[in-house]
Amino acid sequence: MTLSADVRVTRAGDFTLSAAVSAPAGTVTALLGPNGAGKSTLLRVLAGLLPLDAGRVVLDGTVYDDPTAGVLLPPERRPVGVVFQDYLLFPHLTALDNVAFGPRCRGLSRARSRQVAQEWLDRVGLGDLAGRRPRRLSGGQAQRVALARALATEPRLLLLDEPLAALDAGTRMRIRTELRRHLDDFGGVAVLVTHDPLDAMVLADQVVVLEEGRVVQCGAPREIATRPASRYVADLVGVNLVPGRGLGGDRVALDGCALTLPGAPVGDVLVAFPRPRCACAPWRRPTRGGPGPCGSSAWSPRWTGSWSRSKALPTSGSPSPPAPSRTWVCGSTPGSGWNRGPRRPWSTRVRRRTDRLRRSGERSRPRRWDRHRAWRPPSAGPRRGRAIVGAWVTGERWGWCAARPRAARPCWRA
Amino acid sequence: MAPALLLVPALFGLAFLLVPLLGLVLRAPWGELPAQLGSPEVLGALRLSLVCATAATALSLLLGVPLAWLLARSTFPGKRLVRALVTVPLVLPPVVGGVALLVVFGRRGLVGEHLHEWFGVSLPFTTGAVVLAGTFVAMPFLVVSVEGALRAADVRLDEAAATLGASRWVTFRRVTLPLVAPGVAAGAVLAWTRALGEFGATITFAGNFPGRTQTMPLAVYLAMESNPEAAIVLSLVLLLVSVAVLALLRERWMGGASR
Repeated sequence: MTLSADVRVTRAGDFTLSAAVSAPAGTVTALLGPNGAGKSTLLRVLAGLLPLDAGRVVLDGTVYDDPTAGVLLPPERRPVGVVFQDYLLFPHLTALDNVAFGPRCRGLSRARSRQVAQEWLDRVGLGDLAGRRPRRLSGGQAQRVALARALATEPRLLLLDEPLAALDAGTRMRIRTELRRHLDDFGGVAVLVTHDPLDAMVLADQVVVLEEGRVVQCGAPREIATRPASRYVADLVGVNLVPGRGLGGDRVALDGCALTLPGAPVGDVLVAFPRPRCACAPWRRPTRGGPGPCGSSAWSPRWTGSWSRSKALPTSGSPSPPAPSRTWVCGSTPGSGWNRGPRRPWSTRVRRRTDRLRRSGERSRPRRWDRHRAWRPPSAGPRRGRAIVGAWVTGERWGWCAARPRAARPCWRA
Repeated sequence: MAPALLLVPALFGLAFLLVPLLGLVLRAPWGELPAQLGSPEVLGALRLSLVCATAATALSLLLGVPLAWLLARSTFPGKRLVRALVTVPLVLPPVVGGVALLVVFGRRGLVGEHLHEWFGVSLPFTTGAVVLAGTFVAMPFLVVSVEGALRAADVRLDEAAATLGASRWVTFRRVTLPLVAPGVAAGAVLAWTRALGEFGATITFAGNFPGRTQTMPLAVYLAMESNPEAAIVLSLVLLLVSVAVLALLRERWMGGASR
C-alpha cells in the first residue's frame, strides 16, 4: 500500500507546482514550506479537488489521476479523508452527524453510521459532546471532530491541511500529541501540510520541503533539521546560515572573524551554526535534592547546550567552546524526545515564558532570552550562558564539517 | 444636528411615504369591517390570491433554486448575460410581462399553440395563468436572494462533503441547501408578497374573472369604481399582509443595514 504522486499543476497566474512525492503505508509525510509554496495545492490534487495538468497519482496500484490516460477519479470516489485547515465542519449538523456524514454517504444505514460516529467520537475523547453544534465547540474540540470525521470513512489516504494552525499554543501541544497517537494507529498513508517545523518533526516520518512549487529537500525530519538544504529550511529549523568565504586551507572568513573548518571549499560558502542551545537556559536554579528528569521546571542558569568533542569544531578564531564535561540537554533533537511525554518542547516553553514576561512588563529577563536567541557573530567572544554548538560549511555541494549536536536525551544530569 | 437643507426634505419624504398609509387606516370603515370582510367576493378574492401566490412561490422555488445554483456555482459561457436576463422581469413593467406571457402562452402563441394542439390546454384567462403571471414577476426575487446566499455560503464545505463521499446531489441536499435555507426563506417570502400584489401581468394574461382569476389587487381596482369602502377594506388587508412580511424579514434587513 503506497502513494506515489507526480504532480504538475499550473494555477491561475504563473505559479507552477511540480513535485513528486511517494510514501509507503503507515507513514506520515509532512509537506513543509512557506505560504504559497504549493503545499495545499498538492493536497487538493491528492484529494481529487484539483485536476492534474500532467503527471500521475497512484495509490495502492490504482490510478486516481492521469491526464494522459484520461483517468480522473472524483473526490467522492477516492478513499481519502481530509482534515481541512479550519476544519470545515458542517455548521448545521451536530458533531455526531458531522462524523456520521461520511459513513452515511459511503452506504451505511443511518443507525449504523451514527453508531460508527459515536465510536469515533469516543476514540477522540468527545463522546459526551456528540450533540453539540460546531459553533459551540472549542478549537481543539472542533479539530478532533474533524479528525474523527475524516477517519470515520476508514480512508486509505489521510490528508491533513495545517491541522494545528488554528489552535493556541497550549491546545496545540496537547492536540499534537493526540494527533501523533491517532496517526500511529492509522494504517494508511498520511500526508500533512504544515508550515510549522515542530509539527513536521513531531508528526512526520518523512518531510518534503516545498518552495515555489518545487521540492527542495526530502528526507527524515532529523536529516532536514541537521542538514538544511536552503536558507528557508535553515531559518525554519533554527539553524543560522551565515555567508562566508572559504580562504583555502580549511579556513573560512566570516564577518569579522575566521574559523577553521576542515573540508571547507574555496570560494563563497554558507556556514551553518546550529541553534544556540542555551536558548533554553532558564532562570531558576535547580532545587536542592536534585531536579527530576527533563520534566523538572528547575533549570540550570548555565549553559545547557549539548556539545560534541568532534575535531570539526572551530579550532581557531573565537569562540572557544566551553568544556563539555557537563552536558545538560534540555531540548532534544527531533524525533528522540519531544513526542514522548506530555512535556512541551523547549521552544514552546521558552516562547510562552517569554510572552508571559513580556506581558507582565518585566524587562530584564526577556532581554536575556532575546540575547540568546539572536545569533551573535563569533567575534563577539565567548560568554557564559551562550555557545555555538558546532558549525559546518555548505557550498554548492554539501560538506559536513562539524559533528551534529550529540543525540540528545531529555534527561538532567547535574 | 443635520442641516436644515437635508432635514426638511427628509421629513417631507417620510411624511409622503407614511401619510397615505395612515390615511388608509384612518378612513377604513372600521364599523362595517367584519361585514365587508365576510362578503363572498372579498373572501373569494382573498382565497384565490393566497392560493395563487403560494402556488407561484412553490413554482418559483422549484425552478428558481436550481437556477440560482447554476448561476452561483457553475461556469458556462454567457453566464453574466444570463444573470442579467434573469433580473429583467424585476425592472420590466408587469403589464409588458403579461403581454409577453400572452404572446407565448396564448392560444396562438409560440408555446400555447402546441399546448392547445397536443394536450388541449389553454392557459390564458385561467387560474393557472394567474400562477404563471405571479411566478414570472416573483421568481427573479427568489433567484437573486438565493444566489446571494449561495455566493455567501462556503464552497469549501461542498468540497469537504465530496471528500467524505457525497455525490453532487447529496451535497446539495444535505449541505448546501440547509446552509442557504435562510436565504431561500427570505427569497420565498419576497416572492410570495410580490406574487400576492401582482396586478399588471395578471390582468393582461389572466383577465379579471371573479372566483377564477380575480385576485385581491384586481378586486381592489374593481371595487374602487363601485364600492370605495370595500376597496379600502381590501387594501387594508393587503397592507396588513405586507406589514406582517416586513416583521418577518425585519431581522434580516436590519442585519443588512447595520453592516
